[in-house]
Amino acid sequence: MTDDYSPAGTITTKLEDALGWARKYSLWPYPFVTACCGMEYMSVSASHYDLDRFGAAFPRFSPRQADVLMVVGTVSHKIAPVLRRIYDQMASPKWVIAFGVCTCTGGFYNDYSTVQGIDTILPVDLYIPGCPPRPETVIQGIMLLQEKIQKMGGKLG
Amino acid sequence: MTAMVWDVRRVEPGEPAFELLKKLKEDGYNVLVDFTAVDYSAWGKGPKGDETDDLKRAVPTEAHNLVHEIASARGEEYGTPHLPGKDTLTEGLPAPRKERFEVVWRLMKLDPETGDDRGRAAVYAAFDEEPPVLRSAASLWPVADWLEREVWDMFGIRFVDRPDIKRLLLYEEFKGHPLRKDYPITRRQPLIGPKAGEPAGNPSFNHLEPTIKYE
Amino acid sequence: MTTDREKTTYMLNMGPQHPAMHGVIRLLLELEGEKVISSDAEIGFLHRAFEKHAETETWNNVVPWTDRLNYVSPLINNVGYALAVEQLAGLTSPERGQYLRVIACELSRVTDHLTCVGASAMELGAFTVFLYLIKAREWIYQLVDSLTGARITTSYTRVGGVKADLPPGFEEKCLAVFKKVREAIADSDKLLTKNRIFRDRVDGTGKISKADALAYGITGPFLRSTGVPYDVRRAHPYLVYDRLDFEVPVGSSGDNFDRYLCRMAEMEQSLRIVEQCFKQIPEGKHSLEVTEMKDAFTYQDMGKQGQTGLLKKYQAKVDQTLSEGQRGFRRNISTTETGVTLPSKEDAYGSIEGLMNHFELIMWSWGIKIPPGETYLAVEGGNGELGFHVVSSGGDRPYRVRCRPPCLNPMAALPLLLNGGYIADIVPTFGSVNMIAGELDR
Repeated sequence: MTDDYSPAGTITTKLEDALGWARKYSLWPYPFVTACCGMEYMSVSASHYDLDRFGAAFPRFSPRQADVLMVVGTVSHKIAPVLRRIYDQMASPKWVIAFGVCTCTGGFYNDYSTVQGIDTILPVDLYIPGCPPRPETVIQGIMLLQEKIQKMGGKLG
Repeated sequence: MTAMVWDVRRVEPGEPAFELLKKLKEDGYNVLVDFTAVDYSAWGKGPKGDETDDLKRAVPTEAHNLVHEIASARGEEYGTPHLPGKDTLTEGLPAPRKERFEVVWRLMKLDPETGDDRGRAAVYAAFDEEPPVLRSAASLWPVADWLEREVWDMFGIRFVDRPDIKRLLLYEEFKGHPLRKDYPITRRQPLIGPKAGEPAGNPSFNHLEPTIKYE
Repeated sequence: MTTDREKTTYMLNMGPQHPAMHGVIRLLLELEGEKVISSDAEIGFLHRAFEKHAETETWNNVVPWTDRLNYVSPLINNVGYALAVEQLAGLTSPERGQYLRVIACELSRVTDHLTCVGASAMELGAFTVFLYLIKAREWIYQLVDSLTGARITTSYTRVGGVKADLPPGFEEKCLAVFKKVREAIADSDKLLTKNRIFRDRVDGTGKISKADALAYGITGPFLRSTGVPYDVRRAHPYLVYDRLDFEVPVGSSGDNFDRYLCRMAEMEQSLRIVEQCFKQIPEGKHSLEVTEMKDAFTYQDMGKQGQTGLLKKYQAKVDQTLSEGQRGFRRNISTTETGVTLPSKEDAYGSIEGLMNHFELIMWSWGIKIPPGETYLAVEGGNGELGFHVVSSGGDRPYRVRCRPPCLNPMAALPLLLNGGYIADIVPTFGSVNMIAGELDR
């Protein structure tokens, strides 16, 4: 086919878009729930503010089966190695959501036992600040993550 | 509001608190409500540990006195930002303490049939850091095991009959005892956990050992 | 020839991160097949240094930290801390303020039990019950949101009173919501209480005897399920609980089913308490001297024009949920000790004394000064006796705040509950302990 009829790379970019679309609407979250943000996570995944609309209804409690690691709530130094290990066990493609300000920057827990932001130990894809974030904020955050996933297309890293 | 009435006992430094606790248990105090400690090493000092800090805060300013005069000339009542009836210049500073730590056991006599709280007792014991003087109360009330572990964890108070006491809330690799007054809250500890390629030897909760030994 | 079979046990780690949404805790189990031979709990994975932070913050600033202790019933922690500090200072808040605190506490107790029952039902497979109860919890969160400004981290109380008065129409909204909440609880009850699967899993599991529960200092629904009717609201009534009529549900056998029933019954009692409060609460609107209310901008203009005498006479018409708001509302919900509470907005903006008062309470190293001393005060939290041991050295901040966590006691008794049972029994038992890591690890 000539280039002006179907430009080069049409098939593969459409494929990338399709993969991105499929991935963004079938998120399998791994909710690493520690603290108060867990209450908002429960509210978001329940019927009022539904996570099922993103295809993320059932949390997959095995890191091998999940692709989104939602770190919900304060991470202390004692649990940080566990979190790192879970992240390492997940298979690509994987994304990390820092849910709540304690995971983004440590929150107001500037002390000897709180990790000041999980981006000191993991690469984070989405930061949802708030103490705790309202469910609407979480939904907006997940929609932003979806855009990011769409743009990534079929890439694994 | 019905406040709790405490039967307060103070143990003299040097006297064993355990005997008193045993006697109280025999008297019917069947519940250990709480066991905690206070570190009095910064008692009477200002927030920066500076003794003059308190005095600066306690003296009312000139403007303050002027407003008081104006208000009373107008016949109005203007309160000062200190609780009325307290002379902050002298009473604001607390009485100094000799020993560094003070622990308190809070006991309750609970009637199992009616659920009435028949009385509360508080046993205070003040002591310095070394040598360790406290005996564990875990043989009287089993929950004292965890409460003592927490006091060791946070304050570093030793118990004479618990040489291998484990931390409760923090991990074994943690250095220091955080609730002591000389531990700054923002002190950072190094991150623990296996570095890339190392076997997961730490933190200590990675070790699993069975408790039952078979021959 | 018989061979001695060698008994082998193996160690299993349940946690520190496990699928039950209870938070982070590690259970070390020694198993023989599926039977638990011995167990140990390791806690402290959410240690956030509450007690150390409380020593660095001023008296009122500690209240947001108390929110995050038992984060499913934050208002109870707020009220407990404020009452402990007030006991140390010898203050009481006015009657309407006390009723508001009781309403807040009981709404929080309902959310606590809804979360506990919902989450533990979900782990046993009853996902519908989880959705129903979380739906009911959402409505209560919306009520709490309109009352305090936030759903979970409420920071509603201050030393001497509460943040602000009830929003308009709160009572009608509450009563409408309670009707729906009662329906949701009744639906869940229908689904669970006579359900064969649920009963098989929770009947007879996690049993604890009265003597053991007392030896471990357990209080709350856990103790009441064994048959001891101890409730801090009855034993040491605080706020206005001695004027309210409520029952304390008591179980008999100390197993998981009794705890579930206790919690369901307590929710109904809490809703009844709130309804009684609405009937008994003293009217909050009128102050004795002021005759007229003016709009806030008119009030402001009067001040700018120098009519300061008129400022004392009138009140500004502002929303009653404005924090430290209007003079008339303020004196009903907060103590009038000027050393402790911020002045109302009219006084702060309209008179020099009020401005100075406000400034001196806010300024660093001034602020509220509580006389030296120590005290212990207990309130009935969702899990039992929530105690606050507060020590003051006469300064603008606490010297030591200790929170006595009610869920530490059943966690210390966990080996008694789990040993001898199966792994499958751990799930309902642990769910009924209602371990809240924020409170356990502080």
